[in-house]
Amino acid sequence: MSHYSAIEISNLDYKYPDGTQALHGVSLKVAENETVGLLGHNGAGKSTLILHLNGIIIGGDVRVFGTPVTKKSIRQVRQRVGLIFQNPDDQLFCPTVFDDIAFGARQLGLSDKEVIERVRHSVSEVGLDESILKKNVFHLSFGQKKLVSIATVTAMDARVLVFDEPTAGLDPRARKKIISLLRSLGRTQIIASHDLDLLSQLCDRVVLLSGGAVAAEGKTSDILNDISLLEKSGVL
Amino acid sequence: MTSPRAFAAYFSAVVLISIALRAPFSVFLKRLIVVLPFVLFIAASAPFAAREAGEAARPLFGGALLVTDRGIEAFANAALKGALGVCALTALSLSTPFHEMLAGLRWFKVPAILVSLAAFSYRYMFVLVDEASRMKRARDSRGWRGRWIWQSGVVGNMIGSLLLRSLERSERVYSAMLSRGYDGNLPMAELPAPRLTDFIVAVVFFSAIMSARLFLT
Repeated sequence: MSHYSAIEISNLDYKYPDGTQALHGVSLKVAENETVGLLGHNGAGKSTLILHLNGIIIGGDVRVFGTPVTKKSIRQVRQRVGLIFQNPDDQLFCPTVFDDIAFGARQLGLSDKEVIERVRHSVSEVGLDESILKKNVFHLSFGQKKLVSIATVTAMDARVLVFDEPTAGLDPRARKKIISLLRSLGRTQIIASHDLDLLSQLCDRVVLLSGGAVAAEGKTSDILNDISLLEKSGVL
Repeated sequence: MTSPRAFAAYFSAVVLISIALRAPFSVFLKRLIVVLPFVLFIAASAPFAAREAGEAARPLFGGALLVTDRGIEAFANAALKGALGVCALTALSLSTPFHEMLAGLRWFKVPAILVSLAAFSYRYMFVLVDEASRMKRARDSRGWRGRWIWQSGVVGNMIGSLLLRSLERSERVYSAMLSRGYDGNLPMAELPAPRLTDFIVAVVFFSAIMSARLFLT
């Protein structure tokens, strides 16, 4: 399996139903255990690209560990690729924190015992106390919701974690916590953000999107130090 | 028609539960105040409803309206049942966390789609109320006073944009559900295993209420 890239996209186009061209010939390769940043201005196509990674939008040539993303492969793909959405209120939809973290694991058809084990493990992995499991999601702070969102995906044992703006709306302490958590989580990570500092701390490589196309791609330090490129692409 | 003695028995059951819960009566009163006007409004027509020929009636407003004893009884019956229902639901909601109530509904074989609907409504009701109040705050910060009828369009716009945002949110939530392998059924926590006391309370209450229903006529 290791000779395949974790994610491989070639020449992807996407047009929204209203005619807006969101992606234009995007190609992307992510190796296993690599952390790649997706940088781009608002509306550059980051979120649309992300939705292709686990088949929320199907179309074009998208491969996950060599498997093309199609209607048929979707269960397998979604187990491998976990998306963490920007707004935790979209991500967390169950009556209790436990149910939310257990959701994906239960969909995989695991036994109750395994589900409970995974939930416990995920909660401690993101650094939360088990007492939070009984709580109603509405009663959590924004930072806690964000951590629970991550746990909902790690409980599925996803091998690729995809984050949409993981630090948006967090206070400095919660932000630091998320950054160190992402560093410790390992696995393959794709982080869409315009938080340059976050990307410089975590990513091996950065892909710069602009107007739905890849404007540049390279080592994090190379991209982030190219001031004129960043200004031209609307992220600085 | 339910007899006054049966009503007394039902209400004392609710009172007993609320004592066991140590719930203040003010909670029940507050909910009654919210719901009762609707019940009364619906029941209000009962006293004036169809009067059979020759049935005794009392004149009201100098004979403009006629009220029968049977009608008054029907009115009292509906109003008391409404109040009883509100009290019983209040007792239920005070004693049972919402997710256990959902698990209970599932146990009673309520269709999964309805239970999911209830779960989502409960989850996102707070989010929606939050969003509405943020919107209202933003509106008021810009000096809105809402004194004139033509300004009511603003409220319409707010409701409209709340609706659109909710629709968009539902799309995003659905994407998030799909991402985690949603295939149409929403697994939920199991009911906690019943203890001996649960059985005893259930049997005692059920028999008491059934006896009231059968024998206090």
